[in-house]
Amino acid sequence: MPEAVANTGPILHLQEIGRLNALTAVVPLLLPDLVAEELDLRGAGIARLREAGIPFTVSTVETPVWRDVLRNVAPHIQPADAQVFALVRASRYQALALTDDLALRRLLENHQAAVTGTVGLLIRSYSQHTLSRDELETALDELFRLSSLHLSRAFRTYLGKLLEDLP
Amino acid sequence: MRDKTLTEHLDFLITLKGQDEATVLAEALRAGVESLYQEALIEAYLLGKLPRETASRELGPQRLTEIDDQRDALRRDVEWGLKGA
Repeated sequence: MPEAVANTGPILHLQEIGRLNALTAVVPLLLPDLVAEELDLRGAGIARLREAGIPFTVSTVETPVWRDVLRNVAPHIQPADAQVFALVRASRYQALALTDDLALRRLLENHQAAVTGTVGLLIRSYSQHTLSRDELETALDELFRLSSLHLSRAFRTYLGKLLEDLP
Repeated sequence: MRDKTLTEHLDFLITLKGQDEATVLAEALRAGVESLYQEALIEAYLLGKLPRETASRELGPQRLTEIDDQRDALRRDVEWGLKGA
């Protein structure tokens, strides 16, 4: 199975709600160096991933490579996200991308890459019986209420409707 | 604790804006109701209780496109998550 390439969002959001173990569904992780730097700056650094027992590798994406992405492919995304794109592209779009950023998601999906976000990771944990139904609801509530995901309560209600038939 | 913070914020606004408490509270009420109204509109639209045309008129076409994109991303997240079952 190809590695999962993550940007800052899902790791940060899972760390904020104490659910880093949801990443075990997609390990090993591949983190671009700028993502690792961002996580460190936000207090959710790679040390936290180590503590949680999440296998990962930090990959340096050379500056000319990600600058080329920004110049010629997607001027509207952030440098760290350009590195994510470069790594997924290097896998011939076979690697799973983890992001909650809509612009990066759209870009990757336009290249037929598989993408999921924090919500997908939590639901996968439920599907794999790592989270109970109640724990999933609690985790989703905390994701919307406590994390820096910044999605309005309206989307939480919508998500509840999507999940209402889950056992 | 939250009440204390609210009082502190109110005092800060009164001092900063040089307005009386009633004026600041009236403005806060308007902003709060507008925020709740927008939230309720989005929720009603997402749940299929509000026609797209109405949502577009009230929220603006650009905001509605963002909401559609976010809704679609959530839907795909759910689909991906359930594939592991």
